[in-house]
Amino acid sequence: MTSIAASPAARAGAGRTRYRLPQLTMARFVGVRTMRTGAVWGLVFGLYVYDNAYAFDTIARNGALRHQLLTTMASNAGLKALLGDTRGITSRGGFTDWRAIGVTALVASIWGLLAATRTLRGEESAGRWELFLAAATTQRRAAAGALAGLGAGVLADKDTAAPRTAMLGSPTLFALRMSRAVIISWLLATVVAALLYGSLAKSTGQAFASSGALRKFTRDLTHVALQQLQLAGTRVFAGIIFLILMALIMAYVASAVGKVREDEAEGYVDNLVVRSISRQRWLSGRVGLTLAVLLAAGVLGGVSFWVAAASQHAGLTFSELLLAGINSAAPAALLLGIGVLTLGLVPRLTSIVCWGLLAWAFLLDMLGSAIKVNHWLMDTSLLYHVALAPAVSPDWRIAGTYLAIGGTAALLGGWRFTRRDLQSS
Amino acid sequence: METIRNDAQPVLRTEHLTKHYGPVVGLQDLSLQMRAGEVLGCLGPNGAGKTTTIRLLLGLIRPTGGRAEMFGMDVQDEKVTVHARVAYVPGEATLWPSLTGAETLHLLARMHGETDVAYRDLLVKRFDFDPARKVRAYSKGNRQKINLIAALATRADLLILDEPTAGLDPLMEQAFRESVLEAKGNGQAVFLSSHVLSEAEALCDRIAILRAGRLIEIGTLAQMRHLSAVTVQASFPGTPPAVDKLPGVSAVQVAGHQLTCQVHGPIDGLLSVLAARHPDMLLSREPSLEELFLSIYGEQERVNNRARRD
Repeated sequence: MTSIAASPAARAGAGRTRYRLPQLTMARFVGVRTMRTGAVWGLVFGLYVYDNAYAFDTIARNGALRHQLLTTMASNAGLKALLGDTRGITSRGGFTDWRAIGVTALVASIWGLLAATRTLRGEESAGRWELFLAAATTQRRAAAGALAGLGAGVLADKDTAAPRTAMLGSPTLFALRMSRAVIISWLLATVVAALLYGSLAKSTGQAFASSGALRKFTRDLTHVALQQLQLAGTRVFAGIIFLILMALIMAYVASAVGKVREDEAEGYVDNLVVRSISRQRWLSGRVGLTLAVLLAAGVLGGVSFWVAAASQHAGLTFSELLLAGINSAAPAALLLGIGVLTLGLVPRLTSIVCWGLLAWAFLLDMLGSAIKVNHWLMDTSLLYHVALAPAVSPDWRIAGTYLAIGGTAALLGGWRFTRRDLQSS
Repeated sequence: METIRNDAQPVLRTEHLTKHYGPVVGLQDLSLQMRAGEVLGCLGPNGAGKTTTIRLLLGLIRPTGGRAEMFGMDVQDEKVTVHARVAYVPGEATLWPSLTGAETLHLLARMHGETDVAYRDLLVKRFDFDPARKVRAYSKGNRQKINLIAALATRADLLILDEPTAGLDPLMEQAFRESVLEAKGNGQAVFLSSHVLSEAEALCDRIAILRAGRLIEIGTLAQMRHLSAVTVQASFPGTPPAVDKLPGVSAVQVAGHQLTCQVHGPIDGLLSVLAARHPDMLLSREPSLEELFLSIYGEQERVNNRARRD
């Protein structure tokens, strides 16, 4: 902390350092802390925007075909809902804005929300706000400083309550109690998004089926063979939505594994494992809980999409959407395994590895939709190999391989976690 | 709660317990034993290795060498079985801010597996603790009370307390001492890490002093006093005699007609010299734990300096 409130006498004393603008310390502190992850995401978004600007030239053989394709896209309600306002997409700037802004806004919002929660509520919970408030600042100024660094709100809460002892009987139930608001929010967001996009599946599917140029464009995005696309426009649209669902579930997993590490770093784990709770039981409970949530997100996503699509008679069956939902949980399960392995081997890198893999997969998948990327590079993406169900049938061999690798990684990480020093921050 | 204790078996035993953090020595060759009903104080300044010792005993970190046993079981191999008979109070309480005090006590009791609810209620009153507030609204002292109440209420066979009175006011320190003596009376063993020397002096049967990760002294206070100097104070009608050349005499201070010094070993030579000047007043007292501690540390520092010079 660099903020020092010097008394008049101290100011006069020699050898004392007086820092400039102590009231901005909070903003600087928050800015520096979020800068590292912000820089990673900024780089990803920058490459993504560049990729889309470049894609403007490659989506059609010539200018006339491009204009025809983009005009078709601009009139499609499903694509508007997926990627935002289609006005002006026949120009390079408008096209780049249309393709990049929706996806980057979605990912940036999730990251921003997690960063804001950690900085505001997490810091207060850990008692570090008090250190700032004891210096030359006020609660209002400190909050304003944090908001300047982030952009979010502070909500008051009651300090007394009648005891509620439900869900305090086991470490897993306790973890569920502590994270249920977050879990419910994620699942609710999944359901709402699936309902929204499911209701647009029929109209968007028809546009996909009627335009050859649009099918080709979609093929590049989804890696689905052209013949298959001709057969199933609605399914291709659903496939793109389930691709986004995969990324969202992976984001939940990255956040959940990061929280596991945070509980170790802050010393919460110590308080449980010095009692009759083994590390193995604690960690397996947390992993099991995360696994249950990611599976629930996949199932709810599939069912909700079906409910909305069925109401529009989109022609998608319950079983194919349910399986597509379950299929979309596979890369998140692999990410969970890798996260646990990192926790066991190099705990300090847990969050960085999880969010880094997600950003990398997202970037490669988007780059691969516009330009030809070396397949060895594409192979490193957790999203690349997963079948884009229901555009194509789920490839259970791939999903099974993901689960097997994830499970092995989690077992190895868990084994290592029980045998290493617990490391606080 | 009825607990069967096997007094023949040490509650705690370490053999050459060692922990290195890369090139840094956290703990080196710690060998000690504790029996049921004993209060063992572990003293040392920051960085001496007290918390490292406790984290090793609790299996939170793994030793670089040596081993530790509790109730005859290896603390690394049988953590859960061992922890069911141990209660721990950390120096810095990390509790869940959104839970109330009552919820936290309930949670910690459930995670331990066993607690004496009636005794816990008594401790809540004794420590004047309000369990209805959320943890984030408590002061440091009140958070520490949660850990103390949760640990003491288990009536575990071994209490491991790391700076347990940090943040407590003097009245609550008294309540803490009362509770520790109660536990001792009940046959529970207490491993007390502290830098509050008066607390260790009042509670501990034996004291272990750590420095830079090494055990430099262990024994009862009486045993340690024999190793250290006796403080002698005398006042004279005239100038005090010169005693600084006498064997075993050190730390001589003369203020007017008053003389204060310390004597290691036999005191009769000094007494003869003092008596020859017909003192008005003569006092001798054993060193307090604080003086012992400072003397042991000072001696060690002199040895180290000499070694460095050589």
